[in-house]
Amino acid sequence: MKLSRYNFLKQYEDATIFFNAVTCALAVVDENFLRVVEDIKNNSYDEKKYSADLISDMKNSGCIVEDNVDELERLEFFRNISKYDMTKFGLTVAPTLDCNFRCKYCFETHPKGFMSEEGQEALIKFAENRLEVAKSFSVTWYGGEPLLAKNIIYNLSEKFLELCNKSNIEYSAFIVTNASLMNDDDIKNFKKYKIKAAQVTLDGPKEIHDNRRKNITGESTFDKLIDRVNALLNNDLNVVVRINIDKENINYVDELLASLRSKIDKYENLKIDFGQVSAFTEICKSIENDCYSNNQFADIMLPLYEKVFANGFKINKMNVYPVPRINFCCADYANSFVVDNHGEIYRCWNHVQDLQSSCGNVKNFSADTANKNYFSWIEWNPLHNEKCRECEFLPICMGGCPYLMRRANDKNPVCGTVKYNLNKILRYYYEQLKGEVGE
Amino acid sequence: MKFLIRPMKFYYAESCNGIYCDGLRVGGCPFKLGCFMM
Repeated sequence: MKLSRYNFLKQYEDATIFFNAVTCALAVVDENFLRVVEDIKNNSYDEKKYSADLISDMKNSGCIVEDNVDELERLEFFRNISKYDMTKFGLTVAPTLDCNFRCKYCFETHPKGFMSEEGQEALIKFAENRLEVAKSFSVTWYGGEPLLAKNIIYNLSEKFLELCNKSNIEYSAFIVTNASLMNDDDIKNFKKYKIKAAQVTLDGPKEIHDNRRKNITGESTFDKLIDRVNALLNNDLNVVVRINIDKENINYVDELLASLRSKIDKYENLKIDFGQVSAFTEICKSIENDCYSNNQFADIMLPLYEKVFANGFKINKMNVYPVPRINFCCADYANSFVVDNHGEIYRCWNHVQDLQSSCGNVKNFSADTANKNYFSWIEWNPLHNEKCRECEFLPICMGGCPYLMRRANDKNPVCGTVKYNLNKILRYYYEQLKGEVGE
Repeated sequence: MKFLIRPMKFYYAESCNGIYCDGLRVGGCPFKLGCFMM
């Protein structure tokens, strides 16, 4: 046996902690465990000397692997299977790029225009072809503000559901919306069309939120959004409140959480998610100085989530804990597509309306017609990058955001936050869970 | 060896469109807490 290259051992005042980045197992270990580790290092490993349960746990946790196993090859194998798995089909659809908000950090312009009937037919046909193989289909409604095009959403949902019901395919949908146009009929339609969760952004207490996320009419939106979050939760739909964080609003998180706790009836069911504001495109370059780098964001992330936990938002407990990742996101997954209102296909959400990044159009897209934009994203592989291959964080980072890497001057991977805050995260979860140590 | 968080197994890709967890993750959320898409 040999030791995994992805082991982390931490000595705390009251315990020794083990973490493996391939399985993300976290364990308290004792001298028997450390003896095995030392014996392997000294080439004196002899399985007969140790308890069978301990060796079984060490194997299951990824801590020790057979001598003839190459963990990088194994990761690559799983990555390939995952990346080219056509049984899962994902669409992110922007039926319009227009928006009734003008958020100061938005990376899109907001051209008028909606997906035409002909465009909708082409998208349905595109989905139908993909669903010949897929066993599950997930859709994210995106924009612009997607509820400006609610009739298109419901028309497409109707057709998507028909296709899935016909072939017994699992269907689910999600919407990213500012919620300002959402009425009670929409909530009924969300249930009808299996839109089971909505992400609504609130960037601070009322004054801060209204300043950052301006409605084009100049009206305050905070109270309306709180009302809609309540309506969603009261109808048993799931809600993520996204708080986009930069240097301007970081100090208002406590106030916002207190406000949510007092104003949201079922606050304990609310999921809170912190977004890292980034100057993704030239359009929002002016906010660059207010943004945190990955390194800086890693530092503030855990304290932010600790505030969430402390405020009783119960379902967020594992938000920060790393999990094994094989793809970074939908951008490097072959059967997931971002589609704009013209039917143009992109790999990344940040690319909508950037025609130079289009991979093709739903009217005629296939592996035979896709251009190099499609293949260059799909073929990107951190396992072929020297820096990533050497990195002990690889299984939980997978090379970081491929969009940021492409934008970097040196085209090198931009390491994810986990590289910078794993130690703090492990310490935090140890403190939270040590009272619940199981077998 | 006492597990605080048990090993997560490798499964094949779960498409969640990445909205909650920044990506398609193998095995999805092992805790089934807070992720609505799994």
